[in-house]
Amino acid sequence: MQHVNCFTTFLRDTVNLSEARLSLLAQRVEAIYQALKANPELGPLILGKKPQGSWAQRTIINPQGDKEFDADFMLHLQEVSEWAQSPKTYIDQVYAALHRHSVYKDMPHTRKCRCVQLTYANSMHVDIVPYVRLADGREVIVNRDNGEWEVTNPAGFTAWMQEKDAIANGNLRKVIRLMKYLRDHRNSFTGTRSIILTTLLGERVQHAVPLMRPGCYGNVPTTLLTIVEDLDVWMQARPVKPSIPDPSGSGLTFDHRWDQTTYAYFRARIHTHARQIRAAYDETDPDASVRLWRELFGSRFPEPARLPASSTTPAASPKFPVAPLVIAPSRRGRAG
Amino acid sequence: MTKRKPSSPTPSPWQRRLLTDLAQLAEQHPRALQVIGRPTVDASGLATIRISLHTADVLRAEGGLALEENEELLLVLPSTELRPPWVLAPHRRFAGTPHVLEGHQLCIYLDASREWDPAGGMTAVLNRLWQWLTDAATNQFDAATALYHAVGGVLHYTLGCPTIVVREPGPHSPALTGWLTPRSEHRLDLTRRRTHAHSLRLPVLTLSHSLPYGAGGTLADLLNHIDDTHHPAKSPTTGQRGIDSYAFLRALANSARRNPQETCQYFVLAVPHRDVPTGPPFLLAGRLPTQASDRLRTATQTGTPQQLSVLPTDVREAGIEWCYLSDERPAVTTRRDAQRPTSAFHGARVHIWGCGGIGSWAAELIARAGAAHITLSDLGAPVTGGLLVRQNYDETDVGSAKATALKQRLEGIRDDLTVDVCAPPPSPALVAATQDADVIIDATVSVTVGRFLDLLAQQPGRRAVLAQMTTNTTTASLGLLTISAQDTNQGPLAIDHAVGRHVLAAPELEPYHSLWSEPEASDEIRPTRGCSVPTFHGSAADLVGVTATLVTLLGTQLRHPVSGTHLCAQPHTGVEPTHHFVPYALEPAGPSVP
Repeated sequence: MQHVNCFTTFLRDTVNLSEARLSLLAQRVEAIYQALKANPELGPLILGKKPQGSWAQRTIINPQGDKEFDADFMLHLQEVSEWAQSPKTYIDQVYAALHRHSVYKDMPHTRKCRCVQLTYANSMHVDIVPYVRLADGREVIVNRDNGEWEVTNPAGFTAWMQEKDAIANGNLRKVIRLMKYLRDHRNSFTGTRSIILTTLLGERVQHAVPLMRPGCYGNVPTTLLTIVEDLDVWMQARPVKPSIPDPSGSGLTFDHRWDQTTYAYFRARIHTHARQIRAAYDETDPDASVRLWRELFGSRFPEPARLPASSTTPAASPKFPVAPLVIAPSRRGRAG
Repeated sequence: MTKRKPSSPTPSPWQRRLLTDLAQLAEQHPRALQVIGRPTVDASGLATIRISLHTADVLRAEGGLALEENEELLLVLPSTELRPPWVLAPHRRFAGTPHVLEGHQLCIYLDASREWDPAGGMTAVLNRLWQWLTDAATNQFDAATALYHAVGGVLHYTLGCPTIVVREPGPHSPALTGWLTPRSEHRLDLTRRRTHAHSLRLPVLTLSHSLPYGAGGTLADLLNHIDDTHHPAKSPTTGQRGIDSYAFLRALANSARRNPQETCQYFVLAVPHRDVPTGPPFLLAGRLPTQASDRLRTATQTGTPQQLSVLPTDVREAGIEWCYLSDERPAVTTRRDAQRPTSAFHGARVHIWGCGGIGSWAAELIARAGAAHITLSDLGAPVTGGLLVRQNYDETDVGSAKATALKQRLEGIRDDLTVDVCAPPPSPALVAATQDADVIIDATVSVTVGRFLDLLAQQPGRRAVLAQMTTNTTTASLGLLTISAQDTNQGPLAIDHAVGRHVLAAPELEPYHSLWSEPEASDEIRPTRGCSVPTFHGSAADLVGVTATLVTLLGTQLRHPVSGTHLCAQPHTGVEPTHHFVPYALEPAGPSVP
């Protein structure tokens, strides 16, 4: 069975990063941005900011246990001709600005390959990714390890995601969150980066699929079944790690972000999950079906709400109980 | 210097191909087919060739076309394959036979767009002709279905002329006066009584015979055809009462004199079918142009014209403009939905409570299905612009009460439909509805209305079937129809409750569980900032689709209703089963709460 309501509850209560944490994240990013703008050296070079990664794609999930959750944002900087020979200067300058700030200097902050990472005390860090629009029109970020520019197209990736999510009736992002939950909370296919997982799942969503299988993206469990089974078929036909192009159209690939070992493990896990999802979906006994879904997602996958035998209203205890012979109708799940 | 004679047109490549095929066929079948002479090509590019078919072996039946041993016919070949060849009889022996046009063209392709395939070439044309001759000789043609048979088998229509709508039965006498009332720029309604100050008088005249050669193009032509100087000798309709050209002229002049200047003078001729003389006559409508009509008025002001020759030349030779006639008389019209489930609504009295996404479309579908009387009521706010994406209203309705706007729309759909608006339920004024109506449809999704219907269900000897229609909030693609038949004293709400318990316990009906579940916050939509009441997702396509299914299901049941609930899903949802009916069984008495 599908247990659509269970998935809704599971996503809302367990998988999704809460609205409060998302709000906190937005506030902190804005504070960092304003601090950098106020910096007398860096501030004049700052042209704007925009979310990136899972935060931008709304595929961010609750971290496991005490692990940190993170958010990336892109810091749009003006090109500085004096730094042309050393792109890492952009990262260094952002780092220096934080390092001199009265608040952030006391918080852990480090330089990473493509960003400056600022860590908060309560399980959260923010990655600040400087990017520059070069005179030739290319939008680039810094690869500090190699001392090179890397072409990027976050707007293209967002557009791709929006298109795929629309085809899947808004269910693709939810499926990605569920799959990230399997990876992070159920320790399945560890090692597969989010960008690859997102790309592989998103590329399975095609306009033609619902024409041949009506309703296949109709709700969350059906979309999960459809996409994971389609991914399984695609991967089973590819024993050797395939090349994964960046769907944003940057011309790059994500091939360097995993290897054959990681791929083979991921492929085997998807094969297993496809069978598990199919079994839980097709099981007609409600209790057995929930058990199968819980085998996959763990004990936090909720039990279906039990309705009182005489009523279709929610099971909340009324202060003044309804007389037993009165039928209490609810038509809130209906429209006309 | 000699003057060069202009060269004759020559056959096109397509015509040459057909002629070559024809010659080969004649060579292969010398007894059955002969080609007589050489083809001619006229200035318009049409090639004509005379052939002879040996028809002595064709079966004959009583009443069939009398074929001779050999029949000479003319094949006319268009220059391209886009149009099929046609066949002419070089005589008038076939005139009056069904599927013979204007006395001499054999209608071998009724619908060329579907029946003509150029790939078949000449062989297919000749086989088609042979089949036509066989069917004609064995009396296979149904003259009653040959629409224009009475007037030479061809449509009489002049581009730009209005359509005349006829719904009243008749005419039943050879000559009477009718009235045309303009309904729009393109439409005039024909009635026996004057219905409007601007109605125009016209003669409606019955002929004694058909017009196998058509009705002609001028007034003089028409009068000659009426006097039947070339009518086939053997006419079963001979002896019927009908008017002659003098009577026609007199009636036309009388009407013209009584109509205002600068108006066209119309007429309608009732033309009997030659082979079905007892059936309703074909109605042919035409008019004299304004200028000729005014001349007729002037010329006949001092006296009634005795014959055509007394008319001024410009009236006599005036071209007749033929009007398309929408013949909707009961004797000649079969409703296109006569065999469909919604025919159960024909003539019914229907209450529709709730004029939103479901109710507004249900009302239109039931109006089109032929309900006699629809009573509307609505609980809610007026029409707003945001509703137009899925409810049956338009820009002019914004600001109007839904029931009032819908009434206006329904009245525009059918002249013979009565629509009224009543107080919203629950109202004491509606207590008698179960005795007045054949069916009450609740499309309100209101618990209060549901309670009210449950009360009405208990009215002794109630006449109305009670129904509730709803859809789901997330896609408006699932449908739910609950029916309380006359023999059930529980209303739809109680039935819905019992059925809900059954559905929720049935895993195979899981996609329908949402219809009995509280919606999640994300299941609904707030279409406008500040809109305090969330509403459901859905497009007009969703609502029309699901409502049409629900109306059809109700129509299926209406003749012999059984209490219970229909569940249905639109095909694009992928939900299975796409339809499921849960019959209502009375629950055992006693408390239902453990």
